[in-house]
Amino acid sequence: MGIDLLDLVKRCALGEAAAWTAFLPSFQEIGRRTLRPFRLPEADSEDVLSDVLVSLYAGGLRQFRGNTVGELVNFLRQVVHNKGIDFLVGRRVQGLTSLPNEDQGDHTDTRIPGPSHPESTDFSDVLSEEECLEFLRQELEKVRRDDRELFLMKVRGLKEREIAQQTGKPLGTVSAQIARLWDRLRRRLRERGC
Amino acid sequence: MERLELLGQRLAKDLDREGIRPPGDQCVAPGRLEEFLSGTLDEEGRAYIEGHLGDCLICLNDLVVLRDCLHGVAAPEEVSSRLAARLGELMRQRKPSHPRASLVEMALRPFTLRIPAGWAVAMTAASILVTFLILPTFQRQMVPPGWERPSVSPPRPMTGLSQPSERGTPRTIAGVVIQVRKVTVGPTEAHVVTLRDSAGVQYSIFVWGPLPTQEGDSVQVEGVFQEIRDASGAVTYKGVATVFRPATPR
Repeated sequence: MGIDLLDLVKRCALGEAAAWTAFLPSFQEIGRRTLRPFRLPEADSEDVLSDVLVSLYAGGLRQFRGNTVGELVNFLRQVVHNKGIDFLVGRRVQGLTSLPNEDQGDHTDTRIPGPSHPESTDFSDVLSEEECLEFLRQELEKVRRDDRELFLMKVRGLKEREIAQQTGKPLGTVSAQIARLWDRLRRRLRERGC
Repeated sequence: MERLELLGQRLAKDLDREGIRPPGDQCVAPGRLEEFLSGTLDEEGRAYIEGHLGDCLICLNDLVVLRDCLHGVAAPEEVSSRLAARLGELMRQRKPSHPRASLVEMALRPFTLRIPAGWAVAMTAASILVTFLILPTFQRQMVPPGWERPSVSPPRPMTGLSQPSERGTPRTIAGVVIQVRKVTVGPTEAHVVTLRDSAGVQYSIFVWGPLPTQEGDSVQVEGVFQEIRDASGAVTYKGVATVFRPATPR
């Protein structure tokens, strides 16, 4: 599979139209999985992936210089992730979103007031968000690596059945482990005031 | 959505951003992570990565994402109709960009002559007509003196003014217009006139410029004509008019 996909990408980069058609399913899978944490509606995800496809087709794919599928996944993740961020920033500029915690790439305040956020210089929401995030990160470092892995898979939008499939663990074990972890983390966040 | 999930999603996006680093800046190269997942890494490499994943949330996130993507690529879902349609549009609009093609295009650009489409069609038609008129002359000239020309079918006896002709011979015909088609493109006006003579022979005649006649009119045409014989043996003529006038004043 790996060599086929890399060969396909080389043929796409050389301008072979049939290769693009064959490449599309893999591109869709990688793109959708990268966009999962954004929790975008399906139509918006499709918009983002469509934009990425246009830029890759126009010559962006030729910038991939790697030799492994892992590097290819990394490359596509980068392009899709950046387009996802651009999409969210664009929507904030239009005032179409009400979520205060969108990623801006850095943590200086670049919030643009939308309909649900009247213009204000009160940044307390943003600061507590950052503090809680840092606290969560610290809490995750205290749990076992297995639990950290489960946490990341769950918040990335994988269903428990998919988690069981990918980790090779029984579904019941996965469900129980996640339930315990969630209880612990919820309790700790509550105690912290998050 | 509960607070923990919102924070978790934010953390995942932050880790994605932190994990997308230039080659060489990564703790573990994506290729090595791939080998780790596939079980093809040597013992020492495996032990190193296991230890590192225990300490580095960014690389653990990278592993989770890579494994998820590889699972997806191994058994992909059907492509959404929207994406398939988008790729179809891109392919119709242009061929995918190719580095060598763009270099060739750039090299040839100074030598490319751009002319309007109408002029291109008119020039093509004119060159076909010129070939029609001139080539038979050259063919005749190429036959050395004293050599006989290959035999041709004897002319059929016809009544009226119409006489069957050898290829490319100028002659005058008369008949009734049965159809007029305008073939004007851009600034050049032209018509194709279908005419039938008194013997029932049909002519398709290319006429430059505006047409002083219409269907049902009797006309006289001076021009160059070529005999066309179809599978059944029926004969029609195609030609180009040099003079096109009504047979009787209107």
